[in-house]
Amino acid sequence: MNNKGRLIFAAILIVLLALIGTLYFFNINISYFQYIESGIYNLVSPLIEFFSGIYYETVSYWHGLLNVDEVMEKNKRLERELASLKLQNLMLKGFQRENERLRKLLSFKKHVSFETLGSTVIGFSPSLWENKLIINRGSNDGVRKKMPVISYNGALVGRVDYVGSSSSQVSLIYDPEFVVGGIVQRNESRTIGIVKGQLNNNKMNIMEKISWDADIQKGDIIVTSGFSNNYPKGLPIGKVQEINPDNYGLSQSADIKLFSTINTIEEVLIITDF
Amino acid sequence: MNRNIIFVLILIIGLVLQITILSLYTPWDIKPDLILVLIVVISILDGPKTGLLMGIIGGLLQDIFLGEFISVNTIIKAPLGFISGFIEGHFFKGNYLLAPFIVFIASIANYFLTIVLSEELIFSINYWENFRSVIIPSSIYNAILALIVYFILYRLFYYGENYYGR
Repeated sequence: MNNKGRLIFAAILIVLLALIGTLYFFNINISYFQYIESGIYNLVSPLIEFFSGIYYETVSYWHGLLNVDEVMEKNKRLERELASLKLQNLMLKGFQRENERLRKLLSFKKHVSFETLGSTVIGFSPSLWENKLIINRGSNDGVRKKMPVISYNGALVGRVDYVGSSSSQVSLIYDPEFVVGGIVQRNESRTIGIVKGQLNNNKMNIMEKISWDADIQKGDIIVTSGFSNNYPKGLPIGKVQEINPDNYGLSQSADIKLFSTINTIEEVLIITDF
Repeated sequence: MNRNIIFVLILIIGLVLQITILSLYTPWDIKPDLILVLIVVISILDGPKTGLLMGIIGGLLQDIFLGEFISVNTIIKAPLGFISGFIEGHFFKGNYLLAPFIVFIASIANYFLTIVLSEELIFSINYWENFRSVIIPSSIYNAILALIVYFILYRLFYYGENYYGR
């Protein structure tokens, strides 16, 4: 490159970087960019699903190959468990009918269960400090922003953050930016607080703004309070592990051990209405 | 096909591998940054212009999969790609050990700048703890990946070319 060429190139470079910097630091949203963004996202996400499919297949194949005895043993155990659960389910159906009848008699409000949508985890965020999952359901399946996401055992996993046509990104419960209202499940207590994620800690969240005289103990189960419109009431979050004074004794904070182990999660449920 | 188009396709495959296999399989609980590795390796093989282009495209791709179009990764990776390209033409391309070294330095710079430019990280992060347990292990992982990536790209595109640049 000759000197003139270099000068032009350097000028273009400076202008380009200044432009990108301005867009970022002043948080400017250009709607035209959103089309490009979602276009690229939707083009690349099928590839992600394909590769994660290969990964899961290989892992499960190896696992099966190396642990045939264990798998057969587990299968037997699960069959036995299934039989006993079927029996239990039958009994519970009886209780449900009775419950419905009694509710009608007392004219109680009907308990509504959530509509959920099953989804497979196809990837994680490409950054060290942002905690996100990529799942294989998108706007085509009726997923919308801010929908709560739970694991198969019902524990809160996160919230839908970005929606593509056939895949979405879920902001995880242990992300430092994640905040949800929590309440102690014990009937005598009902203490409330704010549950937040912590940086570099994917097993523990922190519950803050608990009043100084609140009735909260080690081992208490924390569920979502449902005071905001973003999450339904009663989704399990975690268990209290330690309680510390906060704000020079004006309030308390608690370390919450999360129920969902997200690094190994493969499937999640999206709550589509509540 | 134009070499730049091939490089962009390689970046896309790198992104997909980063999101899927390299994030799902984390034996030591550390994640690499394959996009950064690809940008820096392509840049030291092809010079600052290609480095800048790949830095912008790679950064944008990574930002899209973090839910934002132009964000921290674009801002950091474009100059990193550009700067590491200046070494092109000043070293013997058959030397495989230079790329891991440059990638190691670039990784530390990349992670440090990410913290400094993210408002949710800059004041809340424990610097020493993160440096010890996240930044250094990930940078070493990146350097190991760089050795493999450099070997493949050099053999595919630059083998038999003049030793010092083109």
